[in-house]
Amino acid sequence: MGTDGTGDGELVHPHGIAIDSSDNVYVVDEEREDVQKFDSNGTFISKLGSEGSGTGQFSNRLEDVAIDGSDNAFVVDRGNELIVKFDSNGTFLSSIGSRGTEDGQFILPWGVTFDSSGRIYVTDRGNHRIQVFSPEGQFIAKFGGSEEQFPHLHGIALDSSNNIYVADERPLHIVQKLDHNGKLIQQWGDKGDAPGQFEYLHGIAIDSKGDIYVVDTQNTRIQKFSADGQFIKAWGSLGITDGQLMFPQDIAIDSKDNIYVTDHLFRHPTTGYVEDFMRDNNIDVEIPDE
Amino acid sequence: MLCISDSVKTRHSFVALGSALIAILLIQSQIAMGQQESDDNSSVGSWTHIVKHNSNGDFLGRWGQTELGTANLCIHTGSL
Repeated sequence: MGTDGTGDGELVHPHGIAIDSSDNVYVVDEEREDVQKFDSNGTFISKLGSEGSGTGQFSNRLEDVAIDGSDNAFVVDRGNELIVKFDSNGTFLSSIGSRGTEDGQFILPWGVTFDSSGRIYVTDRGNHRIQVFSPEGQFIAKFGGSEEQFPHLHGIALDSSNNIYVADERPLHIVQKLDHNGKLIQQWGDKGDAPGQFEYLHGIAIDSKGDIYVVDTQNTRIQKFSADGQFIKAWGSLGITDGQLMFPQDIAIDSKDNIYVTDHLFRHPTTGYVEDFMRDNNIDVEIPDE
Repeated sequence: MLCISDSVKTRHSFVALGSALIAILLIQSQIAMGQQESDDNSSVGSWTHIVKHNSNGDFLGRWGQTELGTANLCIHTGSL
């Protein structure tokens, strides 16, 4: 699946990821201004969008993508602070939002997903809230709104009962589970590297059995939980051999409950973040002697 | 050439890969020293992949960028 760069099928900073009804893989690249579509074997199929701030165009700060029941793609453009909708052929359909704090506006949107009726849920990180929109993009509701409740929202996923799960990064390092009215049901996690703890969690996804998968980025692992937050297992460790991870970001699950994770290192728009991680984990780069 | 030496001491096991496996754009020495890098991402190397597992965590495959370079990526035990 691609090489480093901005050509078709190439990757620079893979970030958000989603799967359509045919198990095609959509990858948002945080330093490309488009979304790429691959088959499940990683063969490039097509791409959505182009650089810019016009209709159907993107900034180079794309965070997440989700595919609805009609295989429409919803892309979180953090840079333009929009949710942009395309059909399965890559044709622009509509967009939601603008920068701001009013209902329907965003500051640093991060994650997007849907409930069983096709309503759209967005983690609005800078406004410390979750916003809900109709399938047509009309604002319906918001949950939260205070830094104390949602200090640093990342990924979002809904289960078959429309319960909401969000990954809330620093300083809490927790998963919060809410009912469909936004009432907190449960939370789990803490900062650390023991089972059930997290270090800078990002993506979250739910499989067909209702189990929860969380990308535990700086512990370089995926953690799996039951729907009530009971730890089931974890996998991944720091490294580049099969089964290891370097700096995992987001997660998506296909129709067979296979797990796809975006993984990268060295690339992050917030310079210093990855370098700190490398220093803390004794990762370096050596130039061999000639 | 793949060259892996694994001390299996901690999860930060030593891994050194030859230039044929890992592609790192030439990175300025301050990154190796853990110092703050500039805002110029073009000087920063790449490790960009999509990794696939089953729901038990068994590794199924990985696709992504592995580009020839002249540097080695090293994960060390102990201090740099």
